[in-house]
Amino acid sequence: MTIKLPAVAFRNIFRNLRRSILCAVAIAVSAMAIMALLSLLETMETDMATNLTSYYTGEVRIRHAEYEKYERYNPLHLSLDTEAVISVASDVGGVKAATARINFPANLYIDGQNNGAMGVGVDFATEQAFIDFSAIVDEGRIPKPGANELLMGKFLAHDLGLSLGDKVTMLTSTALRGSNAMTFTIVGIASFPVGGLSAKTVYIPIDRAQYLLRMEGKTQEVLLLTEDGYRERDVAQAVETALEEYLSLETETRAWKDLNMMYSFLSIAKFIYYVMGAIFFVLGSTVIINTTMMVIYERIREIGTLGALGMQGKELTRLFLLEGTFISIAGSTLGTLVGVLIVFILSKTGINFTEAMSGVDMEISSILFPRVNWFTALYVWIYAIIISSLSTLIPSRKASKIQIVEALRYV
Amino acid sequence: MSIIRIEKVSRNYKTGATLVKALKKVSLTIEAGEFLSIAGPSGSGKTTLLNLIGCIDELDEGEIFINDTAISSMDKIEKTAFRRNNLGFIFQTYNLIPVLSAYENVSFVLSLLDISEREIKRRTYEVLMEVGLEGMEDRRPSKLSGGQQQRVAIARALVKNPQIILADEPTANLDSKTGAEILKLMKRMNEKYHTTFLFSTHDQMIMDYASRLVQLHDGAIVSDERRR
Ligand SMILES: Nc1ncnc2c1ncn2[C@@H]1O[C@H](COP(=O)(O)OP(=O)(O)OP(=O)(O)O)[C@@H](O)[C@H]1O
Ligand SMILES: [Mg+2]
Repeated sequence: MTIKLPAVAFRNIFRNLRRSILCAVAIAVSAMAIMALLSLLETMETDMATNLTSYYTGEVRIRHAEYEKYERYNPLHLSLDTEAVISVASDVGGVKAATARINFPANLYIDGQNNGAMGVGVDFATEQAFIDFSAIVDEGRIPKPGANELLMGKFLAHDLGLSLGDKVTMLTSTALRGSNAMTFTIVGIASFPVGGLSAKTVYIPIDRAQYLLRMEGKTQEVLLLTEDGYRERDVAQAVETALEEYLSLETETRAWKDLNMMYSFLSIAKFIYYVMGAIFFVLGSTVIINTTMMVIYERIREIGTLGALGMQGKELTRLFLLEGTFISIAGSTLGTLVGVLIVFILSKTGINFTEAMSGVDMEISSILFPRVNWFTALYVWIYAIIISSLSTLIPSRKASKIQIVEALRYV
Repeated sequence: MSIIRIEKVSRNYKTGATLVKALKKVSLTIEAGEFLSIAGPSGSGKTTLLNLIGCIDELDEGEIFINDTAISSMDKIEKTAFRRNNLGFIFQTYNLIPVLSAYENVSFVLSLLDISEREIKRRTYEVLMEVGLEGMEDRRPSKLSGGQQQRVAIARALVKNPQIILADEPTANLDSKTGAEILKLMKRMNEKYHTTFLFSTHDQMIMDYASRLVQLHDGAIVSDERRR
């Protein structure tokens, strides 16, 4: 077989193997870093989305139209009729599940001292669609409807020195602005993925919450999950319209993405990271640009010879471009694979942010388990090859512009 | 019909403020099949003249016709194509491609032309045998002596059967015995294939092989003699 340009380019890689390896490693490090970074960001994003839709707002949240305006006064009297709202909302197309929740500030009275906590009254039956209790309940079980039982966040229980079977008295102000207290038995201890929840919350049956807060049959909010293939915003809009039509009820019904600013910030952050990753990559590419420049300088007489023998400028450019591309492919493949390996290891060990996240009020889990996303890997692999190959094009074009006479005189 | 016609060609080089007149209105007509030596002291313009004929340098004045085509009428791409099809080069420093074997160095130039795989193979082996490199086809240049490398270079120049082969001091890096062998080989090829050879040299012994000897001095032809 007659030797072809790609084969010559391939052999040229080995002329200064150490330098070629260095180049490939620079590309590999960039590809690896981007792979790891993107995987982490994607994980954070999906994790945050899961937490927000499970523990905070559902995919669509329905509240009384006025609630937000008076939110800081905890206006529990601006409530919704649980049954009516759920039955209307459930009939709207695209609604998969609905649950009622009441969030209220509470004090836990222990040994003459009040300890602030966040109470959540939930319907444990319908809540199953939102929260996988079996995964988070560490000890005990979930409370039974109608019973004075509660499920407590693990850190809160630890901080208060409480354990299963202990009784706690909960004080709160009612929807009517009165005070009320009730005593609950701790039947379950849960570790929520978000550290803040474990440190603050107690879950009680919603009927007990309604009784405690003097809001029988009412709820502060109704949360919905949507079917796949529906846009949450469209569903929210449809539900709001339906509630107005059938119940003449004015609500504030919104999709979770519109409710959680942090999530939007994360999307912006992700975009910034993409840009930073790209810049990082271009910097990584300077190594291959520099090397190609050196290579062309070193082989200038060879370029002159090939030109004299009748090789066109385009073919000369291609010779160096191919060499750079081979190195890029090697580097990118290595880097992406190492990146995938790192992510794979982290997907087993998890990344513990407990320390880093303590005191940070963000709906991100304390321990993240990144997942290997093959699409991201493919994207990074191709991206790395294209950027670094294109980078070599810049110096490679020089090869076609070299004056043959000058090149041949060169010693 | 003459194969190369050089008409009042001048070439000047500017280095800083000084202008070097490397060739001054040189005229020369070369017939197909000649074995022509360009001799002259260092700096007399031998390389400059060969480079101009080889279409790798630009002339300032006059014109060179090869097969009646004025070379200054060709653009860069046409010149490259012209070299690819019609010219062979032999360099003082051999200039083989180090990553290619002897066989590949020779066949590579054919791969630039529109020639079948089989024909490439046949011609490459034939020419390598012709220059006496049988059995060394797979060696890289670093595993060959200077004389052997120059033989590969001659094979590379010959293999596409060009009209003209230009050799700038092809023996300057070789000892006189090897140099003489190389010249004999070139001469034999000249006789066998009727390829026009133009070569420059300092060496009196090498000049003796030429069928025509053109002497340059200070960028001008001072003598032009046919021998035998
Ligand atoms: N690129 C260049 N820039 C400036 N001056 C040049 C250039 N090329 C050649 N010259 C000058 O032109 C003149 C002729 O040079 P040329 O290389 O043709 O001589 P030569 O006969 O081949 O000499 P040598 O035997 O040393 O190879 C010399 O004075 C040389 O210095
Ligand atoms: Mg010279």
